[in-house]
Amino acid sequence: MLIEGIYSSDTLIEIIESKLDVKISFASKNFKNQNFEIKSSTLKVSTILKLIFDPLLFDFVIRPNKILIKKKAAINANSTIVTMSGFVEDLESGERLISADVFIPGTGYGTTTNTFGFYSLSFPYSDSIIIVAQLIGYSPLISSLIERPTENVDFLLRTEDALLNEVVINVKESAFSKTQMSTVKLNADQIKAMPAFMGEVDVLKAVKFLAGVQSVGEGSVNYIVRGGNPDQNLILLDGVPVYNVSHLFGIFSVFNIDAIKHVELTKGGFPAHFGGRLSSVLEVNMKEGNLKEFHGSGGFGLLSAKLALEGPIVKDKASFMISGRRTYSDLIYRPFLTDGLDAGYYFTDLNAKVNWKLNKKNRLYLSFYNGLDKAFDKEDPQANSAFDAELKWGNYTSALRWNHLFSSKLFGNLTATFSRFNFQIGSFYRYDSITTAINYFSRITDYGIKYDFDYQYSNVHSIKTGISYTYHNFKPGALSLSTTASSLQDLDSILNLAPPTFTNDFSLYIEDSWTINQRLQLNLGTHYAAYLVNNKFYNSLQPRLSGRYLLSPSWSLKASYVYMEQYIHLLTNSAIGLPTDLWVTSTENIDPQRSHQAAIGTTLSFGKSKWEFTNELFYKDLKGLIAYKPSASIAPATNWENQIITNGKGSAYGWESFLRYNSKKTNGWVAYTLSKSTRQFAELNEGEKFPFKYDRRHDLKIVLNRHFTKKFSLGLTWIFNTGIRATIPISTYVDLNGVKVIRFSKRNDYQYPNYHRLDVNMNWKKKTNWGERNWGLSIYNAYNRRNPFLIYFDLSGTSRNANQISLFPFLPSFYYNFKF
Amino acid sequence: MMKNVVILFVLFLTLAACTEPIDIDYPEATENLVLNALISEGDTIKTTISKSQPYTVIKSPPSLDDGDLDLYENNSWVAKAYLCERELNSSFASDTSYIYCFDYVAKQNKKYTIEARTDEFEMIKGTTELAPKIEVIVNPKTSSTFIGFTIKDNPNEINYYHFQLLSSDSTFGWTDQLITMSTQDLTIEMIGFNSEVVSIPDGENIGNYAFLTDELFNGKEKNVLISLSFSGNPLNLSFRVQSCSRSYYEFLRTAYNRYTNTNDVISPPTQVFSNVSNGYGLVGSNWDTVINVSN
Repeated sequence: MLIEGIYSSDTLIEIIESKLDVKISFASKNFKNQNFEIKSSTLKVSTILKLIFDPLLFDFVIRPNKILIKKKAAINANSTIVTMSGFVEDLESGERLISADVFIPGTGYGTTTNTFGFYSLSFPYSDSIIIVAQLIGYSPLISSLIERPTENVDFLLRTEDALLNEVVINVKESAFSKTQMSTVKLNADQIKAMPAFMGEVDVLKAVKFLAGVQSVGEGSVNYIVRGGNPDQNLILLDGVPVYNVSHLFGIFSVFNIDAIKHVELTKGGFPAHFGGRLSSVLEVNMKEGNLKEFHGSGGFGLLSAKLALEGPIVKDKASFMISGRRTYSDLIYRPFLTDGLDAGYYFTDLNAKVNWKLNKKNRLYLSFYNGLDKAFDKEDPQANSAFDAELKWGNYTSALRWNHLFSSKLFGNLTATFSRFNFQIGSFYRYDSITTAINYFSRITDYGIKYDFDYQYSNVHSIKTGISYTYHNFKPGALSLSTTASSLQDLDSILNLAPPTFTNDFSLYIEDSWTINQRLQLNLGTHYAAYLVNNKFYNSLQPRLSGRYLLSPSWSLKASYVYMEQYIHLLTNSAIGLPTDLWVTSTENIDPQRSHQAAIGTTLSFGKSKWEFTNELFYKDLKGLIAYKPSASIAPATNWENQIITNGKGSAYGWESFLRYNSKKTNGWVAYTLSKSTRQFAELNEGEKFPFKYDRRHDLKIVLNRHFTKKFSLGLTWIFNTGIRATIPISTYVDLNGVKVIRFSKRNDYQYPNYHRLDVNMNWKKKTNWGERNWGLSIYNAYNRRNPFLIYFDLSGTSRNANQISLFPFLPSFYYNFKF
Repeated sequence: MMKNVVILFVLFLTLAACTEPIDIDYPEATENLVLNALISEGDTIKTTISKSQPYTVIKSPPSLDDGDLDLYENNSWVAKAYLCERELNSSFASDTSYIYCFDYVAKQNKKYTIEARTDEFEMIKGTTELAPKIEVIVNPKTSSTFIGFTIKDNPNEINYYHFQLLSSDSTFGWTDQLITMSTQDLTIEMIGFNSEVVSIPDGENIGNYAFLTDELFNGKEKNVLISLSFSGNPLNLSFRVQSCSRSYYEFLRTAYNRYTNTNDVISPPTQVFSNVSNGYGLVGSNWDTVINVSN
């Protein structure tokens, strides 16, 4: 039967009666006349009725020539509990889908797929159940009237794009029903629709448009979350920490969008399985590779070119994905350099992943990432003497993961990880045939292993537990010297300017998602962390609590409290993500960072679930912060512990509001944050509390994407925020020693002018006989706002004049992408 | 080297950017009354007052001669100041510093407050405890390559010490190249601090000075031994041992920090310590012992 359009329930019932020649009778007098939007094609009558009446807690019985509608009986707790589990996958590629919702409409029973697309759902069995699987970007899949759920049911979702001309049923149960708060998901398509900067769309730049996330500066990919420090953001690429996410001094992130499948940011209410950072967790997951067909994508922009290939190694059994990106500005200007000189800068990324379905219950994933930034200056190799210099930094990460389905209730994942960030400055002096090389490098290396389990204990208890161990090797600074001089052949030494530190990081967690009734759901957990550095042993038991109460079928109240500890710190003054920033560990003298965080909020879904409106109040208390002493600036190679001040405190509180709209043609959001964040160190600002540098009172972002036709789409983003804080010189005076000194304002007492900017993206897409291609034009800073990046005083004249440096003005760029 | 990387980055951004003048909305008053005084036991109390200038003004700030100053001992008024001296000082606009004197001698274990006002500025004031007297016994073997002395730390009180090595000849230098800066008065960095009793990591070394808190001494008698090594023969070498009031100690630390860190575009600025309410400057106290080293 085909019914389509918006109808009142009365009208709808009349239509069904006339079309089917049946009589619908009411057993309840409390039926409320409401409007419904029905989009259906070939669904069974029973499915349509169930979709309409289930959320209203009405049931129906089909009799010969009539349909009886009645108030739904409460779920009988004594009904047989069945457990259904399986995977949610992309129908076309076979990729498993993360964070897809699997739920029974109107009952409160539902779950979300984990990082590997696995779900397990227990519920009281009845003979008329509809189960929906859905994910943004995909058409919801409705399994109607499952006779009796088998243990394993996989859902294969079709992308919405593939269904542009078809009609889908709009049944959505979104964030309002989940216990987890302070979380936002983005998929690759949503990110790609946002305006590009210099031809590159960027995952982290998209994340900065979310509520509660603030930029540290123009052009930089680094960000802060809810008044925390930049080092308090854990960024995971396929579960592996990435320590420096910046290319080109923070202007681009290391994430190549063509290799990315899913991005999820958690800003608060951290469940127990997260640990190690205080302010946020950004999970970035790479594509797995198409299990069915070979595909590729690529493109180029102003600065870089990229190519990604994916396909089956053995169809439906094993697949691969490999993606590369490189900037090419150095190649373009190299011919114009003077003879004998070779200098330039470039960055590269290489992502690769292999996944292998061993059998129904076992699957292996191997993923790898390598990014490199390199600046170099080489003199004529033919000359008798030459001085060459090289600066490079980059990350290596890899993960080997083994999924095992023990039963329909128990899923396990074993992961071995490796992560390294390396920064190196080298200089090479050559005279005759003798070369002498001096290299400075700093490095952090992690080796980790963890085992995580998802256990569906019953229809009311869903348990996650796991254990992990990471071995950290911090090398804050080392100098190596080598030479080819025959008299010094043995010389190849490494001088550790700061001794390397080896630490052991262990954690154990357990959390229970407890459905007390249809309205009330709690997530109770604890995270135990232990950290051994030199002879100092830190450990903590960190409670994690969150809860959701359904005020109505589409409106929920949520609250959370978490305590967290962080054992590593980033020594930085810039916060913009320079490679010179040093990751250091807590030691005997430097305590871990600690935080208590609480949040309360509501989530409302309306407009046929196309609109989602979230409001949250948050409070964060921070302890154990570190900062450079006022005299120090760049990470010192020696004795860094003596260059910092410790035991700083901080607090942040505020209100976040997030209104999101998602329909097939239009999507976007408005995010507003009103917040205040402060810091306090005994040695700074005469011990008084002062505003955090990134204490932006108001932060507003608007993101809008609209598909006007099948070929043309337009994306707009607008951002406004209060200026950052700074300490500025206000006067000069003569001190007790008779020296003229500068009097500065109180720390961070000055506020930079406000920041606002409009970006525009226009995209023309065309299907071709080989695939699809699209051209895009992006405009960064469309109305050429001169936003302050840095304020300095010009000392050249007869008076000191304040000047503002603005980075990127009106900046158009283009890109060309293709896929096949 | 890493600092150069950062400066290179800033330069890169600067070149890629556009610059334009901006009006600064200052969060605080830019002109204030400044009061400076260093009080020692047994000495007549002297002080100066001057005026701060907005940072945008390059010319030197003026020393003021229209001040009205009062001295309080343990919160009781004891004397009024008068203009007693003029001193050459090029830091001031008139190259002159006006010095005010109180006809009053500071006494041990007392607290002193100086209040100052002018026609233009309302009253400002600063308070200090008197720095405790310490006994410094010089080791008779002290020479141009070795300085030794004994400090008898006062028990049951918190003391602050400041050591400073001074030389009047610019040819001196450390043979191991540990000098990182030579200031106008040719102060020499005390990295050569070599003692079994006191080591630099336990104290704090900023630039060319050593600052030590009471934690190292704690009411005990301590021998301090410092080895010096010069490439040339030092002349007029002197070693200064100061016991400081807390305010003066904080001033010295932050002031020297500021002097050595003026051109760094990245590091957060150092605020020179001030204990003058409603204005700027320092009212502090010291007890000074100078060990002259013969060649």
